[in-house]
Amino acid sequence: MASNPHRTYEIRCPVYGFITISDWEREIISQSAFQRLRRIRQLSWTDYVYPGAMHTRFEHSLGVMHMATMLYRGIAERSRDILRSELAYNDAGLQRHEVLIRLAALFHDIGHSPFSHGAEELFPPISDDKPTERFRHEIYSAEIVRRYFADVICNHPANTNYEFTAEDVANLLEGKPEAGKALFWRDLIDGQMDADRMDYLLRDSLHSGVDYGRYDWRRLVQTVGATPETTGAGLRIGVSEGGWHAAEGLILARYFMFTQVYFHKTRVIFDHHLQNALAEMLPGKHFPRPTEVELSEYLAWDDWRVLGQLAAGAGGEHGRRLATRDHYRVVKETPEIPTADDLERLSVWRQTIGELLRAEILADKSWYRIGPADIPVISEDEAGRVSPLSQYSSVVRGVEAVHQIRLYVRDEDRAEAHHRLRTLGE
Amino acid sequence: MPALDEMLQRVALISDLVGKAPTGFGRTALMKCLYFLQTVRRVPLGYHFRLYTYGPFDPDVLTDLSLAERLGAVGSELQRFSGGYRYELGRGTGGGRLSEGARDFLDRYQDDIDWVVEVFAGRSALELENASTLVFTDRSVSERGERVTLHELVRKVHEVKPRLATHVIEKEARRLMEHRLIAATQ
Repeated sequence: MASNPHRTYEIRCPVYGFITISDWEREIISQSAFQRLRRIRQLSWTDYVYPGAMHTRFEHSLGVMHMATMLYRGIAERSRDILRSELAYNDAGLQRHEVLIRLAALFHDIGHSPFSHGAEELFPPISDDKPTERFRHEIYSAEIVRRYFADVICNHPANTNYEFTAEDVANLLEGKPEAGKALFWRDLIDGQMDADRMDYLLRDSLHSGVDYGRYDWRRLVQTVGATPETTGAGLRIGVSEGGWHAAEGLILARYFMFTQVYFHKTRVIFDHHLQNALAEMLPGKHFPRPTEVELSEYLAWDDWRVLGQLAAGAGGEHGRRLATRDHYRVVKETPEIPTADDLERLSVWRQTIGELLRAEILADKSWYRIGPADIPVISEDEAGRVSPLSQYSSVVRGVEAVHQIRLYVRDEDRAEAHHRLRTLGE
Repeated sequence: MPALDEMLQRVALISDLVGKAPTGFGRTALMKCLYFLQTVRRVPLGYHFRLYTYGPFDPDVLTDLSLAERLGAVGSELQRFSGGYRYELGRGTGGGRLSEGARDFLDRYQDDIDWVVEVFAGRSALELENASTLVFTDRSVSERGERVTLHELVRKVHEVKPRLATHVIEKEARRLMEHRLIAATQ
């Protein structure tokens, strides 16, 4: 254990300049289960399209902790009165939960599989009687915190004042009721204006070499606050009126990053090749389960191991395609927002392409969720009325979810597929 | 089954549910009804609900709703009232083709859809937030192999929703117990 538990350290960050960590957090980061994140790329095989996108979950995790702290401090400073009256926070309680939120942010991606989201289809079913419900990386994250970080969380001298357990962090990550009033802060970890997406948009944009993910994050940090829910049932994290355009900018940045980078037609097909190659490498074609027995084997899977196996010729046909960048080619795609007629046309395309069809990829995502998760905006008049962001912004009201389907064939079949499709006379 | 086909099954179910729900059925009600269908009735929808201060929530529900609207299987009407607005959902004119494609799936879970409409669809957003948070909390306790008193369950929910009076939470808890929807309470 370190000799001075109250010392702080600075780490260079390409987005924020410096990120300050405590001695306790440094101990956590030093654990091998955390260091594994250095060996998991943030954007899977995106570098095959955007060569700069070689950054890892490690630097993103530090960035999320930094962003969550800035948001937390902004809320604690501006909304002290309502946090005292509604959630019975005093100064010590706020200080205590700042530490908890930092830990939750730091750990939020600890359970990622190799190549991040690229291989999540290979998470095992939760049980035989629930075949459609698979484990998710958030569940792995919580279990890894419980089983691998209990000692460093509980027994570091800095925890003497807080008495946190690994269970406290895991409950918040999983959104369990046992997290109690700390659930109020969950919107900072997993919400429409959370530190995760606020960091990944900036960071992925920077490393990919695009400007689509940029938005006025400093304005958001300056205007974020706690507010009563519009239904009146609880307390939410929102922005003051001066920040709603910045919140709008965040939503649009996400829309652009997904349509231009994450859903790029060539980028998404590498996820398909990865899933199939990994299925050949994994016993039972699934990752180990997040149980006491299998978790250590799960943690042994990282990008290095997969790349090593690929280099040794494992992964079958799809492994070869990954190693040589010989990917399937798109021959047809629906509009980003398809109609019922477009889906009927898709069925015809499938039949026409026939046995040449090798992959069908659905890229679907909504950009803003109107309804219970709408971001509250606090008016700056005396009444301090609260209205959802979707009421202020016609842009977020109007930006429709994308549900684009693309059909892929082998490069050598592309000409024949196009020839067949031309017979449709479209 | 391709991801699109699974999604279209869920969209067909959403359309069916919305069509059977009473007037005033909105997005919160849809979210909570789907939560009850998956959690209580074990309809395999593949959602992953997590708990927020506004109750169990999965953003994928709203992604599915968006496709349902786009395909004309669900209609969404903006209702303005003093101090705000809400979207009221109704069955769209284009749901027929979709329902035919998912007929087997809908037939298999028709009793469950009818059940959730009867028990929950007519209730307010606030009541549904309360009820679903109670069920979520109860299940979380139960999964840990523990049991709690009614008082303790109410206290846990009040901690998540501090603006909700404890007597309101307790009344809802007793109602859920009558329907045998709470298991961990002694």
